[in-house]
Amino acid sequence: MLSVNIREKSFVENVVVLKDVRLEVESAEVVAITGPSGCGKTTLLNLIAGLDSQFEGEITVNGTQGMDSLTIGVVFQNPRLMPWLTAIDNLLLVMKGDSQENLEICEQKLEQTGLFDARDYYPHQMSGGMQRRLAMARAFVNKPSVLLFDEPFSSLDVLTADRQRKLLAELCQETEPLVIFITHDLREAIAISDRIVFMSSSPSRVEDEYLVELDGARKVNDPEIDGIYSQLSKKYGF
Amino acid sequence: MSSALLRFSCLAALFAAWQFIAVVLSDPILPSPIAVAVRVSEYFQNGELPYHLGVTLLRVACAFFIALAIGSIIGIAMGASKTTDSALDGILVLGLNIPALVTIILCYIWLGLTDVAAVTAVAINKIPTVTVTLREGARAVDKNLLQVADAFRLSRQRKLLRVYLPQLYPYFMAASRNGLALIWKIVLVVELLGLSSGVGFQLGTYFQFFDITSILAYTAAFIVVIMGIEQFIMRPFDRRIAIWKS
Repeated sequence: MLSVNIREKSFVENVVVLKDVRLEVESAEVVAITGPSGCGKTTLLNLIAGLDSQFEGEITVNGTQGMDSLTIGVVFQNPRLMPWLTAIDNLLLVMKGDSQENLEICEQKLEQTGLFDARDYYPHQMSGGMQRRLAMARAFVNKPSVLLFDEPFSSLDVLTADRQRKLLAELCQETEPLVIFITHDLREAIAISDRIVFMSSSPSRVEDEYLVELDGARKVNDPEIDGIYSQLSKKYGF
Repeated sequence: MSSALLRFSCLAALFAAWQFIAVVLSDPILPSPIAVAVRVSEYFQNGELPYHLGVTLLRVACAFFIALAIGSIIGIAMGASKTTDSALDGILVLGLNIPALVTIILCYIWLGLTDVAAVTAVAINKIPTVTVTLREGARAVDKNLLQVADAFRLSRQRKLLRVYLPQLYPYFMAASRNGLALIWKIVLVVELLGLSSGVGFQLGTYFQFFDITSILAYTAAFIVVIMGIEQFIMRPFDRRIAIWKS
């Protein structure tokens, strides 16, 4: 279980971004975190990912401080691929060593994400959708126990975003990682998660939580999502 | 017309004009390119030219690698840390503005008329410009890509070699190219002023005899070697590391 307890996170000149943020996520659970723009969702994700250690509080995994013992996969808002590495090398980069076994794992991941034929392409030779799939493949290639997503589909068209969400669900089925998914899109949060965490405006706190009791794969325009969406959007002003 | 053919045509036209003027003047003050080529061949055959060329190239190589190594380390440190940048910026500006001639003379006085003094003087002249280039490179490093390395828990070595340094390659190449172009010119001055071997020393000697043909022979041979380094080492290396941009 991942336990997040951030008493305070502030930036320069004492601008408090996060205040008393408490969150617990079970393994294999998919939690979507949503809230108004600028409320500190990405800051929270960076703290969980260990990219920023300047905060008061602690993040523990099964009672142990820090996330270093875990294999983590991250998908950022932008794909953030290394432009000088080919698709296959971008995956190999995050693996421990370039062994034949790792190469085969990377090739398999490219196959799963429909990028095998583009294995020797550099990022600039790929479309935006392909780059995002590659970023997703990179996040999964190490079979992570924790996956962190920071609005990865925010700038995609509806159809491509749907495909990416489907791909994400497929990839998650294999390893069943703990997933924290940042999004400002309430429909996406409902479609993708087991639980939605609502954050307040800055300084941000966990305002409320909602358990999504829907089974199986969902699309953002499914009728059952419409019902939950209208209920939640009225309540939280989305 | 291809660019290679155009380049060759311009060079051929220059040599033709030089040959024409030399024949018309018929004065030892302007020897013809053919006379220069014959002299190069003579010096090459008697071993004088390869020896002095070799000595100069060795000095160029030593100064080049020392300047690149030290300049890169300081430049990256300054680009990566504002404190280091503030601390060393004054010294850097000083280094950039000290005339090469002053450094050469001081090194000869302090270290004697030796190869160590010569290489040190040249390296000291070049280090500040390498530092400035690499400082800009380190400032331009994409922090988002470094975050990827941190997020995926890459080892320090992997992060340095596969994420950080590749972003600096264009700056290394710029520093190398500028460095080579500047260093070989300074090395000739250093040799002229205080050494008894090398192309610079030979140019000084032939200057005293007003032997223009030999001066041009040495100059031509050295330029050909430097162009060869650019053509067969620098460019292929540049192409290799920038292949992803093509």
